[in-house]
Amino acid sequence: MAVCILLLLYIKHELSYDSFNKNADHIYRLCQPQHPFQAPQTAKLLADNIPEIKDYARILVRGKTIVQYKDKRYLEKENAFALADASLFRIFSFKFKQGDPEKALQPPFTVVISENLARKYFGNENPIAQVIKLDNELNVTITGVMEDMPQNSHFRYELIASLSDADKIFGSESMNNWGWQNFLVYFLMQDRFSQPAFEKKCSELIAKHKNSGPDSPAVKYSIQNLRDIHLYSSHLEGDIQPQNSITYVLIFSAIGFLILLIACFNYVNLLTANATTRAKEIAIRKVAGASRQDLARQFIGESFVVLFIALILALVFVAICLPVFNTLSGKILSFKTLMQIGTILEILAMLIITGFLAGSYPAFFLAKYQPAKTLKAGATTGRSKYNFRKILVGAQFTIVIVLICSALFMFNQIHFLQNKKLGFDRGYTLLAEVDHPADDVEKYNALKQALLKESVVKSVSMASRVPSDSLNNLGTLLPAGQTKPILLPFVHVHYDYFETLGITAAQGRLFSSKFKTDADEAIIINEAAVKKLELKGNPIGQSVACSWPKSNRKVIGVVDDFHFESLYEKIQPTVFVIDYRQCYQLMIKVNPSNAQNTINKLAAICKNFYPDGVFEFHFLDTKLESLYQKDKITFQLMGYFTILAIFIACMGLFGLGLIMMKSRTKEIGVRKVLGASIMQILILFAKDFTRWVLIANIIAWPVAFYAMNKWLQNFAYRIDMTIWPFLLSGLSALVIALLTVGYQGVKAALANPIESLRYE
Amino acid sequence: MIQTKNLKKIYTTEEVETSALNQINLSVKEGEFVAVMGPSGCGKSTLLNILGLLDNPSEGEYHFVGHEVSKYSERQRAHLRKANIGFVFQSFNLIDELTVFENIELPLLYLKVGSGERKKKVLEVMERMQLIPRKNHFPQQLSGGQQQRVAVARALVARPKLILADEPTGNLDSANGDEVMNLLSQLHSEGTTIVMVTHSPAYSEFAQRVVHLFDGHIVTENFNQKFHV
Repeated sequence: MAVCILLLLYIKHELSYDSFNKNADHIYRLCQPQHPFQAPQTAKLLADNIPEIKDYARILVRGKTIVQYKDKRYLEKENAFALADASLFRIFSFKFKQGDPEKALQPPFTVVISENLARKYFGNENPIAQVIKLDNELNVTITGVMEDMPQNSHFRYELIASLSDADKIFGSESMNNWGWQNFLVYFLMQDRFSQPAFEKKCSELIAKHKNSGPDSPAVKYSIQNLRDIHLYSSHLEGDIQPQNSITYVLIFSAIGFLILLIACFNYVNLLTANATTRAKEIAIRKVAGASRQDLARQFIGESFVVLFIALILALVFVAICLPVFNTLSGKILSFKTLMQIGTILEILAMLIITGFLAGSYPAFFLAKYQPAKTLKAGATTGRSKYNFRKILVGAQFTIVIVLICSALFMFNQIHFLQNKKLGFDRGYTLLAEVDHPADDVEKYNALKQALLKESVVKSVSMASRVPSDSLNNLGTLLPAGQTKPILLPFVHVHYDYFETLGITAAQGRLFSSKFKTDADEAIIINEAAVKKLELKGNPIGQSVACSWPKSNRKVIGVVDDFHFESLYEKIQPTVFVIDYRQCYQLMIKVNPSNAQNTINKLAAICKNFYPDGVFEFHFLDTKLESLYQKDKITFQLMGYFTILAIFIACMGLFGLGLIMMKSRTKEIGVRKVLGASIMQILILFAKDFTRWVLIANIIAWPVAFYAMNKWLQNFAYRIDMTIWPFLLSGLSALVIALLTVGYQGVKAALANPIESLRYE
Repeated sequence: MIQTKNLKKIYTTEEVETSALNQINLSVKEGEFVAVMGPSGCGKSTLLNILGLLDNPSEGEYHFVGHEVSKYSERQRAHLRKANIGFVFQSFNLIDELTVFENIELPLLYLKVGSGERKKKVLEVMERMQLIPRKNHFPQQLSGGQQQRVAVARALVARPKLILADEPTGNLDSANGDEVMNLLSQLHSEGTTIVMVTHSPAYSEFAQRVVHLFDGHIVTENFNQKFHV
């Protein structure tokens, strides 16, 4: 029950995302098929032309940010800083500690910060009207302090600057650029509107205004309700923060339900198995005038008392385990949630359902006993006696096998993801972001030379994207002789990019500073791009018209396909061009050495060149691993709950074994008198359980197959469905069953048969 | 077939030692029918358990079909027991989950008799006991007399040299009791050695010899006149 309450808290938390917003039912996010990011002018265009939109707010997402207050500098993590329209605080319900939410972001160059940051930057000082500098260039005045955004918000910014006068910050050209798709758009909609009709209107309007060539495919826009963003965005790439998936919520609901079911089975089993000892009591009560209904009521009442005691123990247990659970799940769940009326009602509902589930069968089963028979001859009723109980044990094992089997598949898949050859050298590559002026390539070259002087450094490069990033910078290529430009992801790099990643050319050559034309006239593509571009013959030397930067280039090299994005995604056709202005990620390949010393040393060198920069180095392989963090956490939690389910099932089995042995003492005695050896007695009992475990396997395997096949579909690269996890799960269930019952079997088989036969 | 010398059985509970059998010297010849009588708690069942190799004596010797078995291990006893001894209990001790056929078949299973042979033997003994119509019934579906017939059939099916019957009529009415005694008597006349514990003086008349136990001692041994005429 404690597990169920924990899982209930977890599931409630997941389902509660964004529902704290008063307008939650009417707020929608605009999405493109693959991502939720829009061009700057999209929102206004739609709001001006579609009356169903009551209000809108845009959020421009920024990466890591350097915040300077007086002479102190802070590096704020990704997803902490964004620019937004003033309407954001009108549409969403974020509470303010200071300032007016309606007006805070109306003036240009203003910012609202979180309570947390206010404490961090200003201590006890009043933050209102203070000026802070963002990313070494933007001076903004603090006009509001908001409470930290709730845990269950799908975005959790700490620093929101005004988008008013964005033209001055980014230039009006950018703000009217349909290609700059970096804005999240939220609409406050009318109470009633037709979603399909609205989505159609949006798609048409945007297509009309985007002025895209007749060749580019029309993009289908869609909207998602605010409450759905957290759990139904797995199809979107590069969302603001990793969202959960409804699949995992369902998995955990299922596990919670199954564990409760196993516990109910145990209760029913033990109660009915123990019926013989209570049969006499029932008979006497019946003789004394109790009706079947009276007895049924008594048993249901008893199960409620048991449940109530269990509930109290469970609550204590939850209180103790919550911190551990929070660490494991990466959530911050609070015991206080349990005190909310809604939760109390849910737990009560769980209690009542469980009570009836666990109490009703024994109640009617036991109340049925005929007093005359019971008093005369004990309660044995022939061969069918154990069948119901065995069916329950079988059902428990079915659940356990499904859990073990799923856990094995998940383990294998995670292991596969973490160890699959990605096509590049992931080790010992340090990454840091450099906020550099667009035209200081000479300064970068000097830094590169300085870094290369260090014996620990093997190579240095810069790029707009490194493996593990989303390939969401799209541009077009038009191969010579073709008429339709082809849309592809672009990666802007500098020299030595491939060398740093340990990638060699499959055909042609890599970029080199020795060739003066490489910077302006060369591209390198991967093999998937060769196919996508339908380049005939040798791709090397073929000309293409390139959109980003606008230029005519020649293919100088082809690299093998490698896994740039996570293994959830298929390898995309990708274009690599040299364009220093787009590169902001510094990559340094180092020799194995003391990591912290190396990082400190390299950061110091970088700081010499960019004194305003804050250099936070991290390793590429850590970043790659974090791609699967969500699955890893889920797998871990699932692992723990599986062990728990197995444990609970074993407890039930142990109890049942005990009672079965007790009720079969006479049989064991008779068999021993007739010459059965201890081994034969053990085999007899083992056979009994083995049969049920085998049946459980037959039922469990298709269920596990279906569930895991579905889960694996999430991954573009996945393990094969081999038979081993099935066999292994079946075998381990069998071993668990035999070990559990074996102990009692040995005890019973060793007992002197006379003992059991003497007092009949 | 059976010979005991100064057989003793002492039960030790935490502090008290109870002597259940004391200085028992008893011999039973092959083909003999012996009844053991005595009040409750005199040691009848204890004696039968030792004779049936279910238990070891605390002291003394026990020779069974030529083997000195008093120090035999559980395994050795089981081996000897299943080949030579059939049991009939007061409370039948049939296994409720098995049919009449399966109950009777059980000793043959443990003797590793092949399935064809097993079926033949079981049907033979069932026919003799008039149990064929009850073949697929469960014990709970039978009357007490029928259940005891099944128990006797089970004791007989492996053709043991010795049948030990512990108050076989104790749970039966007189008609059923008579039927069982007639059966045992018939077996005896066919040459089976029988040792039977009973409370009933009437049924002890079926035996050639009646041994009276009291407080763990053999107090008297009477020979039945009708067998010695």
